[in-house]
Amino acid sequence: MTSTVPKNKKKLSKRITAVIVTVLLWAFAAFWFAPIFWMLSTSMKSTAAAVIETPPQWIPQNPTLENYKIIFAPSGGLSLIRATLNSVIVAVSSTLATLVLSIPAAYALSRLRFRGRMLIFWIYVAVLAFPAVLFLIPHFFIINGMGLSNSYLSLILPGLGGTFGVFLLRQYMLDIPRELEDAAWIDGCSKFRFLISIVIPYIKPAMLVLSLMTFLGSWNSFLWPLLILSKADKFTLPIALIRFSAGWGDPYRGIGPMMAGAFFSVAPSLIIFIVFHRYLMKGISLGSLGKE
Amino acid sequence: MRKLMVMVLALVLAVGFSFGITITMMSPLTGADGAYMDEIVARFNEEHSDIEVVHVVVESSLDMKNKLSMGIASKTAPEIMFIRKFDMPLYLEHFKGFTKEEWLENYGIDTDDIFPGVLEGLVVDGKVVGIPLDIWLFYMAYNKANFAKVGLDPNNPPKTREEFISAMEALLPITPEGLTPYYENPAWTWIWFHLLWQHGGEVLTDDFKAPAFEKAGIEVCKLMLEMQDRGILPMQVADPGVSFQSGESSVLITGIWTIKPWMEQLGEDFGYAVAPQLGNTKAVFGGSHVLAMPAVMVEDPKVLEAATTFIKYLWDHAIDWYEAGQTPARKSIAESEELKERLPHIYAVSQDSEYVRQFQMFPLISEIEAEIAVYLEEILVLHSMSPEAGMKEAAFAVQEILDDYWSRN
Amino acid sequence: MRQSHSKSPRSFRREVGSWLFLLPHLFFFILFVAVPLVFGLIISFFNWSLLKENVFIGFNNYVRTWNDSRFWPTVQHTVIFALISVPLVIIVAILFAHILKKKRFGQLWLLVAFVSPAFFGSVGILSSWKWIFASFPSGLANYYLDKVGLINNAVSWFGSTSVAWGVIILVTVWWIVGFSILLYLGALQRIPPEQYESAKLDGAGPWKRFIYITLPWIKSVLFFDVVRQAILAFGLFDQAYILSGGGPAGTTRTLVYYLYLVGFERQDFGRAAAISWYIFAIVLIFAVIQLVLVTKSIRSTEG
Repeated sequence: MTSTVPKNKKKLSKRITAVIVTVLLWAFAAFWFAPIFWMLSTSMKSTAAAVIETPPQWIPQNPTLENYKIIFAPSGGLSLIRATLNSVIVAVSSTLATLVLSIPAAYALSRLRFRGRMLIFWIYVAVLAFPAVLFLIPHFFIINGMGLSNSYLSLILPGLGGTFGVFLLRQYMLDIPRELEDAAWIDGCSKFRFLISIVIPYIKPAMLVLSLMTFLGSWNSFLWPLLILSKADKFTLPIALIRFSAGWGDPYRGIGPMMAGAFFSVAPSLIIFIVFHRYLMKGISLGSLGKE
Repeated sequence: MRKLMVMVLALVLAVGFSFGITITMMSPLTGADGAYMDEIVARFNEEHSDIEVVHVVVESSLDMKNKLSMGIASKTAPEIMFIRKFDMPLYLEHFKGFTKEEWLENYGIDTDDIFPGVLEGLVVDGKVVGIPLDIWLFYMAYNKANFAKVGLDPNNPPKTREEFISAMEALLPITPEGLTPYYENPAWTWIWFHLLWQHGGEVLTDDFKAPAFEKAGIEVCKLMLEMQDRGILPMQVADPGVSFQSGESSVLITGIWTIKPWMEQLGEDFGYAVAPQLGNTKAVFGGSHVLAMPAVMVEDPKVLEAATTFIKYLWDHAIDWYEAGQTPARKSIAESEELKERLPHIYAVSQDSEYVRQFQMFPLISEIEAEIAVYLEEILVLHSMSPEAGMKEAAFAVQEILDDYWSRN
Repeated sequence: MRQSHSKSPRSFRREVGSWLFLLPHLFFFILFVAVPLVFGLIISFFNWSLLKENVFIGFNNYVRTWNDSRFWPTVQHTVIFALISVPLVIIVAILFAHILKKKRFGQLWLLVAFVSPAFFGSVGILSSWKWIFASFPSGLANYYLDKVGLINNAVSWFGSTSVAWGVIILVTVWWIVGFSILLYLGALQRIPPEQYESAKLDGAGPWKRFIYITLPWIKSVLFFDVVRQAILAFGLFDQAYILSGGGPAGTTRTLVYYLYLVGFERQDFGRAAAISWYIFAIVLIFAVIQLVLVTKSIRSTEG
């Protein structure tokens, strides 16, 4: 470790390495993200042009917003804007409701003591193994029986029984150091206070991830809304976009509008993600309490 | 923000305040097809102030079936189904049927005008349970410019097996490497069924208790293998449409629904003709969209009347629909001058309509199709089985499915 | 750990208080998860469709599935897929999480690139990928691979079993790694950097640092992710259905594909329920095995 190399040179070579690594990472990231670029690029070409171009054009020669016009034209009593609004209402409500239900439940399963705690936890985990599709039919009859078919509630309620969020939050809560809890106990803090003022800030990244997952799960959800909704005014975005999806035969027939629809469907989530990424990056600093 | 809320409110009110009866029609039509139907629906709604038709699109047969089953069980199904004929067998008893006379006298729909091959399977207990609106016939699309380049007559496309094979071989020199003149997916089962019927075969026996395709199936596989050997047909799984549209490949035998976009794409270079007869039996593959009403949804006479009014409208204005790229289900239209003038390409292809063959109306036909596909791929894509062995295995597999079905029905 | 069964009102109240936290969620769980599962179990013993009389047939659905020559190959395919893809996704996710942890120029865009595909719905993604892996020479993959000289002829990407699975695995990893990255990122950020410093001073290499410092901190999250990935892997459907159509020759059919093919295509919901219980059992066994292995290896590194 003796160095005859002057300090400045060492610093410089470190810097250069860092820059090279960053550039390489950028190149790799661009390569990784290529299919999305391609989706965006194709959405701005007319289908005819998109289908036959060789060599592939990453930047369209004749960029056009025609496809976006197509998907926004109201058709057959449906409106993409209406469908988007429905999707937003349902997704936001689902996310909030899921958080409100899952946080206390996760808290109970991770840090509270009561009989049957582990049994319930393992049941919660085990049911995740069941293929989601089979819940469709019983949900249909339950919601119909409650007289809620064709309502926003019909899209929000069934998902609230999901155990995925509880599982995730519980895992994050497990890592809260015992010392914190003991300190709070000594201060006479109630369980509820502890949950609100200590636990929740601690699991913020997990909450954010759960929110994103729930929001997107609801946003992209297709099979269930398709089944339960019979009136077009409550249709959500994925249903409205079927019009532009591929049919059999020649799946490339409508690739322009299809990519436009796909990209439109993604844009809101991307925006939310970009807006909230700072919270993801901030992380938690609880000083150096060490691990459990 | 406020403007948006007002707009939304207006929309909600508009929908809520539509007087008269609202009818939902569910169809699998996406893209341009769907847009055509939307236009027809819009015109109908304008002309009929007391009926509003809402057109809902569900493309996948599977999703549609789930929705239809649950809709029928809970009385929330659409009032009209614009349904692919091969998806119907499970539901035949649940559709509203009328006798031929009732259809004619009460609703002005002459079911005798429909091609017999297309109406077949839609009659239950003497009642016609659905009105086919169209046939998606197979036709041959070809590139006239490419034909001319190799000395073939662009206005005289091949009609028989020999003509077809020699024409394809003539096209080999101008076909780029990695492609074939007839660049179709050999694993696409519909081509195989099309050829199966052209070789006098059928999928199942008439009583649906056993497979019936083994012998003719072997012939078809041998034909396709021969085409592969000669470089006419791809040896591997292929994605067809694009190379035809770019002019690199020259011929496709496929559904009529492609005719409009390809005509627009290739312009003068686009040639169309009835599908060549590559076997010993005159036949051509076809499917249909059928208009059917779930019986539980039209118990109310007013609803029934509204639904049948729309069906009659489509029946009368069918040519508007065929423009999207379908051939008529009605003999009178297929032979009419109006069709000849308005849609000469549709007219030309529909001359084959009386030879149309469709899937047998057996509830598990899609599953059987999927199993046959597995063995077709063994034979034609993986080249790991001979036609004889592959077809035998396929027959076994199909028999398994049939036994399963009949053991509980 | 178990509380003594003291009937003191204090501990009773405490226990009730604890239950109260769980109750709201439990209510929805019972209504929308437990009841449907029981319902599914019951109808699996029936010839149950919505369109005709429902007939009790005992174990017939289960027997028929067990004897179906199409079923076991799909089990095999799905298990192998899970064995390959689950570790792969986790390794890639942890790797990317490490990369993204450091503050870098343009960190946001790196994050977007690696994580955002997880936000996209299946249809748009898979249509894009199908386009990329088209079989004709001008398909994106074929075009560039040919240009670079890695292949000579256009490849039919779904024409051979191993290549088809390769594509499916590639697309799957690309698609779902995003959420896992976020999970690990959240966990990695809690590790005090001093621990790494002192380990470096002690001369520990990156691998040792990972095993002894990083791993214990992300244990709980890893547990969660393994379970989640296993479940996702066994639920593989969209990629098999849209990209390869279950082919060639049915060799990319997965368990859920089979469920759709035989259960839902036939609208035979009793059969669908029985198949689902098979899937449930298989997933459970697989997840348990994986978990035991993971916890064992973590325990062994803890010494």
